[in-house]
Amino acid sequence: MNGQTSGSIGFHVQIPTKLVRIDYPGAPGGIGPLNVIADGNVVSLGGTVLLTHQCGVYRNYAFDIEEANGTSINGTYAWTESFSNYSTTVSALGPPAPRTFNFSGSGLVSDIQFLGTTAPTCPGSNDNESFDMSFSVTIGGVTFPISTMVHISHGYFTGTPRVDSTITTP
Amino acid sequence: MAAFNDTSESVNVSGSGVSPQNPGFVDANGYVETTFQLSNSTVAGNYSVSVQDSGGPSQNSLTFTVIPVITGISPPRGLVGNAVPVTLNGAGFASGATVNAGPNISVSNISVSSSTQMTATFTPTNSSSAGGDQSVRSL
Repeated sequence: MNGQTSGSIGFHVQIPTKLVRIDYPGAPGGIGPLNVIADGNVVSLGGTVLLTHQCGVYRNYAFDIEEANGTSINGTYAWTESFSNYSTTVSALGPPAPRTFNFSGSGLVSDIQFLGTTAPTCPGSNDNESFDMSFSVTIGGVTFPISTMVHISHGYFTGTPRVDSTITTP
Repeated sequence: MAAFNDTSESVNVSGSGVSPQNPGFVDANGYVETTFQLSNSTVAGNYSVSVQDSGGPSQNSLTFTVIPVITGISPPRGLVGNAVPVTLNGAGFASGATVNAGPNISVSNISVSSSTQMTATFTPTNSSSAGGDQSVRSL
């Protein structure tokens, strides 16, 4: 105004880039306890009962979607999970379809990994599956790839219930 | 300006918001020295400065320029492709002031609340190339 220009101040535009585990109540370090249920509920980190009367094993995870400098993103976006390198010992199981969730707010996302059946039927002692999860963020029709990959292995391994996760960010 | 007749001078500034210490004094080099006080209501722009002494008013005037300053922005960041309402704090914001946030951010809904605060909506271009630190200026 009046031909006068101020000095500048910075405004940072966030680009979603990576996924990191984050502390969350019930999931220190982003990893919840191993839950083995014979006829019980599958409960999310937020306390929501997702499934009832289940027999199997599950674990909750908490992640933060961040930009390259480690700052959590904040805004409105769609979060997509895709699956690859799937393998299983259970013929009835198959690769999960990609899933998309809409978020508005922080970059906090939770994930729950469960392998089980409706009680009283229970998984076999060697029923398990493993796969890789890759991710992307979509904003206004533009997709931003997330460099982080998560490998999941869960189920029963010679009778031992396990839910294991390995997170890799280049 | 012409030579001054007195050891102290009356300094006048056009407009409001710039208040000269009165009277100014003439230093050893013959220059009139004074201090301009800028209030919170001072807005950016050019102010005409003239001097008057016992010999009468100066025949010309000089320009004193006030530039706006941005001291804070909230929030300081926003997600690409998202419209982000921001508040700019500073001084000298004039009615009708605009904001330039560079080629990667579209600025809309600019509103000057006062000479020390204005609001706007920042919408970063929905592209990876829009990421990172952008410079914001008030015009």
